[in-house]
Amino acid sequence: MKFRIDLQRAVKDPLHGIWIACYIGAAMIALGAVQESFVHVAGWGDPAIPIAHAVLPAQPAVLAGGIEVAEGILQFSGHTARGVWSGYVTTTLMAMLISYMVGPALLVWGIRARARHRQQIAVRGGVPAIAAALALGGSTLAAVVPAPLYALVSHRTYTMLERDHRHSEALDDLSVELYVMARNAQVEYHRSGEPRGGGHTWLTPVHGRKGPLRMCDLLGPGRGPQCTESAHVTIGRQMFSLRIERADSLTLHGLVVCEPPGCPAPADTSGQDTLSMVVGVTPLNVNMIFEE
Amino acid sequence: MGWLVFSVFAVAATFVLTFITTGDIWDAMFAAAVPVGLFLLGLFLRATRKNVTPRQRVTLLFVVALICIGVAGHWMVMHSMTRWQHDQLLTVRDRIQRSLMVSSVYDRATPVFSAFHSQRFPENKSMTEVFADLYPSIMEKNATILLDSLDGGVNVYARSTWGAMVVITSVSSVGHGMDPEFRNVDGRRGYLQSCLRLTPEGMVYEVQN
Repeated sequence: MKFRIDLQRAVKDPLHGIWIACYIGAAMIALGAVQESFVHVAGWGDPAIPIAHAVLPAQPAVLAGGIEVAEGILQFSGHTARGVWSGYVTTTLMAMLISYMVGPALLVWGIRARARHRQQIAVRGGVPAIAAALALGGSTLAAVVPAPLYALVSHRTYTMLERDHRHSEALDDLSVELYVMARNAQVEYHRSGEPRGGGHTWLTPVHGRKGPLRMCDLLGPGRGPQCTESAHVTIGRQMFSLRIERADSLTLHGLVVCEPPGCPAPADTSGQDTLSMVVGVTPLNVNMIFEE
Repeated sequence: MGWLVFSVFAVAATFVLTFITTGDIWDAMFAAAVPVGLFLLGLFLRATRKNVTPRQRVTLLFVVALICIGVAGHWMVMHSMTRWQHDQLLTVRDRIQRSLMVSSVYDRATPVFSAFHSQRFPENKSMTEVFADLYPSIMEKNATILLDSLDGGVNVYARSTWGAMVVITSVSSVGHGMDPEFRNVDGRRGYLQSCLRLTPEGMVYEVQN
């Protein structure tokens, strides 16, 4: 019975808490629709600019982050985008003014005006103005308050990205090392020829000048005393091995230990997480394969 | 109303001037955050000046401070994360460019080196002559010629010196090297450049910028 009486009072009172919650919800939906239309009207559907979808939360930090990444994408393809004033920057400024200044000011005014209105004190603007102020102020506050939660989720993703990126950098370094080793192997092959032509090989000694290819022939100068016949070498977190298949074919195998652990490749026999690559080398070609 | 307009103007001016000066969106954001903070402090004091008990004021202050700390944390995370993404994009671009540059020079040098060492007696061409056989462009001594333009924004140049050595140089048209004043072989400044010196003894790869 009490609930029904309360409900009847609430329905008749346009500044009741239930109505205000509805106004705020409606304002959020309306603002979302306006922003989405603005995105399309402004022609921000450019796939190179991922900022369009970042506009919806109306968060200045999200917009600024979108600009930062968009600048990176443009610079990636050789454009100079840094420091150019654009519609995105204007929108960020507007979002800042609305979210942190106009919104809170409207909310404070709306709360105080509502209190005075309920005390039967005349308020300039009346009920529609109070409802509008509360709706706009409340909707901006509702957009601002969940930001820390978003930050927590983002930070977790960011940490994972950083780790994965370190793994990809390690793999990239390994591939560069292997590529240069493969090219060094080709040089050694071509130099092994006889003075009258022909006789190139990776397999047998030529004129007693050199034996089968060794790791030191591949590593280049200044890489330590790695001139062993076993053709295995460890440099830091990287391990390399060499296998000569035929006179004109060899395989290089490179392996790098994941630091920090947790790379997608399965652990090796020693239980360490590793990434590995295999390079097939012929006198003129290099074929690199990432082992999964 | 007047103080709101004044504050909005102050924040906008700070934002615009900082952005124009530094060209950095985050610098502008952080600079504008100072007058925004002062505005919010003033708004809070004004809102809790009358009809609020000390207990309510402390509670409100706690809630507002919590929101401000949360928003500041959000800003910091977004700043570090997007700055990192921006930097990583450029790092990835440079890594792709460098890989392309390494492979582009070796891909052109290896067939020349192979042909040079496959000569049968009494054939005894110099490295430059072998190179000219495979790449029939005019190879004048000390003249730099454009060998190839790759899709990834890398140009490959070649130059012969003293007949015995060919220098194959790759220059990125996109990625910037460590030294912004470095003069590239194509006349520009500061771009990634590496070269491979091809002699009868072998190939020496060098990152120049």
